[in-house]
Amino acid sequence: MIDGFEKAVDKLIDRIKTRIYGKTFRCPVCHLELSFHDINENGLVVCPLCGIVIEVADVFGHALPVVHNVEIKRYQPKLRIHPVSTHLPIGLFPFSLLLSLLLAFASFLLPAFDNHCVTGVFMSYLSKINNISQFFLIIAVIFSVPAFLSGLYDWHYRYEKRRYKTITVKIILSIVFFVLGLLAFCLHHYGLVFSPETGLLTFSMSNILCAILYFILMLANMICLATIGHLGGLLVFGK
Amino acid sequence: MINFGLSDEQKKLVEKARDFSKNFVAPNALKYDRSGEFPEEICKEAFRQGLMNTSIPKEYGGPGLSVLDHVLITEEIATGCTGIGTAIDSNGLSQFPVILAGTDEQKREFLTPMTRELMFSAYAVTEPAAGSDVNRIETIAKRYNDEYVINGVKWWITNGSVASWYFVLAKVDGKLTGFIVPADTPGIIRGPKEYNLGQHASNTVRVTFEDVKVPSKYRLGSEGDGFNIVMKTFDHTRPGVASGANGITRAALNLALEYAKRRRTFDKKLISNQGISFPLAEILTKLDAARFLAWKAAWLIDNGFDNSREASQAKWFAADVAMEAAIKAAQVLGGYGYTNEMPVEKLIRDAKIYQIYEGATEIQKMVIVAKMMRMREIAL
Repeated sequence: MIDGFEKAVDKLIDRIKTRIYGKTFRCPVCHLELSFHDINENGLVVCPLCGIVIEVADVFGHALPVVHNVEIKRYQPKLRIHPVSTHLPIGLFPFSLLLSLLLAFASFLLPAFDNHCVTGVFMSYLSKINNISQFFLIIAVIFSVPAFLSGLYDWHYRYEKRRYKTITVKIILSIVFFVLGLLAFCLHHYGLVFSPETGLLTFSMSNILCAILYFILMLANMICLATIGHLGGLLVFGK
Repeated sequence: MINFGLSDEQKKLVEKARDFSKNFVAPNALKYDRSGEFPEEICKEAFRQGLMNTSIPKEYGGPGLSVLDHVLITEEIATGCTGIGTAIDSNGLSQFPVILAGTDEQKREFLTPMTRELMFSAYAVTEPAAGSDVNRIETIAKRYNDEYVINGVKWWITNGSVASWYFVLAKVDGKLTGFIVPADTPGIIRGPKEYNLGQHASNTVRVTFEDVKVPSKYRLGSEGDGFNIVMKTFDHTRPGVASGANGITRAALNLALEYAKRRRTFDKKLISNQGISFPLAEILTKLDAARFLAWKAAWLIDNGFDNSREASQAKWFAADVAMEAAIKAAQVLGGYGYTNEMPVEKLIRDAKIYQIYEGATEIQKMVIVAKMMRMREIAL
């Protein structure tokens, strides 16, 4: 069953990848997967990871990369703001989501153990957990801005504004992350999901709808963040 | 009169197969080579486009294409990937015994369904102790009233784990006899996929037959007809195998040529060196020779002539040329010909099997010698 699920997910990812990247090929030196869309008007592409200059021929459907040169002197940002600043969103957002999930489970489970002594102790921490979750969320969203801007800076100088499909995807997903994160924060902050007093879900129709929307936004953002991080990792460390 | 031209229908067929190969086969060649997964999705597309089961006669629902048509299709698909090509094409090897020796009822039961939905069949002849020497097979079939009980182990069976039925060669009282055996018959055990040197997309497994009961109506021809059926099958399929090898030669040549035209060394294009360009000229010439041999062998059988010698010549020569072309292409690409991120090293691995399966090179030469021995003089 797990095997079947994995295959289905792989197939889905493959389809999405094909739709976004089109035909791809691998850099023969660092094995980074590149898109035919990355090739410039001269028929050349510089591998963003290893810096080789490749001419790619489509030979009877086979991609044939021919290495012409190596870009040895590449701009290296001195402070490395981008990799540093990405740590806050990538580190804090998943915790915000996990704490929100914990609150949601608690909202369903705690009423069943109403008189238990442990329940009382746990209940007293819930509003704090709610605040921490909210804090993590806003910090992740705020720090995605310097991460985004420093990423753009790197692309501008290090990658000489070359139109790599991977970087385009990263830029789009970063904007999506910021917008969705802000929306999720608003829902959370104005008490539309969890009660600010108890930290639990409020079971009114409008709140349930808000909670569903909130978790959809958070999960979508988690996927965005994982993809941005994964693609960033590929650009730095390769396959 | 000699005519090397193709008819308009054949040109269309070639174009269709080429488009399919460029769009579906070649772009997925490395993926399936690495995963070793059976390319079912690509087979589905081939089936949808009418590029599978091309030899099934029209009266049984197939397109009834000639051997030459099949040769043309195979070369195009093999230029994309011979592993995927083998998965698509190997139905033909098991279908030919039925086409050549089956009764009308057998053809309707086993061939017609294959034209309606994607199904696979497998040719189960080779055994651990019997490859080229078919007479050495040890699988036995004992007759009990109206059925046979088959026991034995078949080895390196292409499409073995996805087949709906098998063509099985077994000995009945020492006489080679062919059977059609449905794959869901109790007693059939399919082994795991073998990881061979090349053609990773092709599904090759061991198939064990333990007290497999087969109704006598599934016997092909009479008891003892097996050897002739197998040999006649090869006359029809070897031109196709030769064209598969030609596909490898074409791919190797295309890749080496494009690389040599682009790569620069010592301030000039690689192709400017005669040490690089002359071997490519030699390979192109050999490819033409191999292709014409395959076409001639196909044309002979299509027109009712004996083609055993020509089919063997085509298969042997095309296989050797493919191997040589793949190795030379790798040499042209240098280190990039040796890395598995580039498509050329795969060609070397894929080419080797053409010198082995469907009769090793030495067997082909034995066939040619046998035919030569009967000649008074070498003439046209």
